[in-house]
Amino acid sequence: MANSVQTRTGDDPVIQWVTFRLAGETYGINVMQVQEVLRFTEIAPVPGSSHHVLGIINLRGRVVTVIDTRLRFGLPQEETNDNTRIVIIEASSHVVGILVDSVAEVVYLRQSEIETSPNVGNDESARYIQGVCHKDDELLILIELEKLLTDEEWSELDSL
Amino acid sequence: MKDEKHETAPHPDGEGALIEYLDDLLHDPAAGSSAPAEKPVSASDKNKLTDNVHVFDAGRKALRSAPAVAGSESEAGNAGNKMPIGARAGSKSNRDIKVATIDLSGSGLQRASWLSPSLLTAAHQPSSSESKKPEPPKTPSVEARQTDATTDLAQHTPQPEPQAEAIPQSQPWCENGRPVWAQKAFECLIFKVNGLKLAVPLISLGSIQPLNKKLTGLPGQPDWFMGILPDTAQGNLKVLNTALCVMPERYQADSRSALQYVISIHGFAWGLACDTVEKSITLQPEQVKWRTQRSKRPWLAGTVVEYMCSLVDTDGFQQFII
Repeated sequence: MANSVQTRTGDDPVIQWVTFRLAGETYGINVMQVQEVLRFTEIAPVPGSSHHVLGIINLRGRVVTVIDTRLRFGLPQEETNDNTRIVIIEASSHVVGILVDSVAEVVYLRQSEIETSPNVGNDESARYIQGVCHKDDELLILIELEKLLTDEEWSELDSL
Repeated sequence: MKDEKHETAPHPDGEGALIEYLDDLLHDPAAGSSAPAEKPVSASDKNKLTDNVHVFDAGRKALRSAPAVAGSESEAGNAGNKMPIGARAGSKSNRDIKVATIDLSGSGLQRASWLSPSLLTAAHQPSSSESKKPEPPKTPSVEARQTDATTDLAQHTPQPEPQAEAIPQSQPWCENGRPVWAQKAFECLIFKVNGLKLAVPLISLGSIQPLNKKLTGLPGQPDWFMGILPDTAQGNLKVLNTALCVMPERYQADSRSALQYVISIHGFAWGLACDTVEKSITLQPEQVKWRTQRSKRPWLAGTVVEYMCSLVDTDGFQQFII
């Protein structure tokens, strides 16, 4: 959280989150970790890569790995459409793309509005859920991108 | 006994599933009994069950025929909404329990605000016996809540929520093989899910929320985690698919559409989804066949043959879902 865009209101910092949709739910990621948002483009598969890796794209001469977010979250697969986006993020010293159904907006959330992640099931399964927040009559699921992959999986991206 | 099960005539709806399931529970090798003698599930018991089902059919029908209980803001002003809840008439025996119909002209939040403080209060009150008369309480007691059940909620001013307490520590079971709360007569709320009757001790009850909002699903969660019910009287409530938790082997996916309520447990941020809320009953500890080994089904405190229901151990449920 050290690199968050924060506006201090007393002891309750306001943090900006980029929200995106995935399988009907709204997720949020810290705006400071978002580099850019791309329309869906052809993704070149990488033989032998992990199942959660869709492939690579050429981003202005730089190779960026794209992660299948639906697969990572255990959600059913769906065809891409005009709203599909690749969000380029930086996490754990890696620049990767995550495929999402659509990108919604940037919201401002007070730290105090964020509830801790639910304590059900084993911790491993939901390690990347940082918390939830009630906003505009719906719940935002806030993602901690560093925990989207395990240390081994982050390291594996270097070899692609 | 297994053979008897097969000799029994087919049961309508979920009744057969209930009897089969309880039969399994009662004959689970891991299950022990502190009751003096195990009462077999006789034909008369099944008839009693059928009678009970009929008694509360009216309430259930009213429940299903009633308009969606104060779900949206547009419904908030609908003064005709009624929500039947099984409420025990104070001086009646358990068999004469009546289904009270509560006028819900307020919004869902108002109703939730009404339900929650009283039920939360119940968690701090000693179990009241049938013969006790309510003292002039400074805080509402179990009896007071039952009296309030007949009042018009529209005139009920929402009370401020009591301060949330720390999660209670798991209460150990006593040497006599019963939980601390079952050392004397205790009250339970019976609810039904996927044909199975479950009873939860009132002392553990938090609130009853209508399942009328979209649940927010979370990735990477177990199948029995249905999602988060937002903005309830107890904050965001994690809703568990009760049937999938307690009897995954008999779970039918299409039964999910029948779920109408969430029963939250005091001190925990989760609730059990159920089809119907039936009634509250008073049980003597001797009426329960207590389980001595709860490693296989930690959520099961015991079974009550008279009501053909399973008694839920909420602390055990917490262990089960973590």
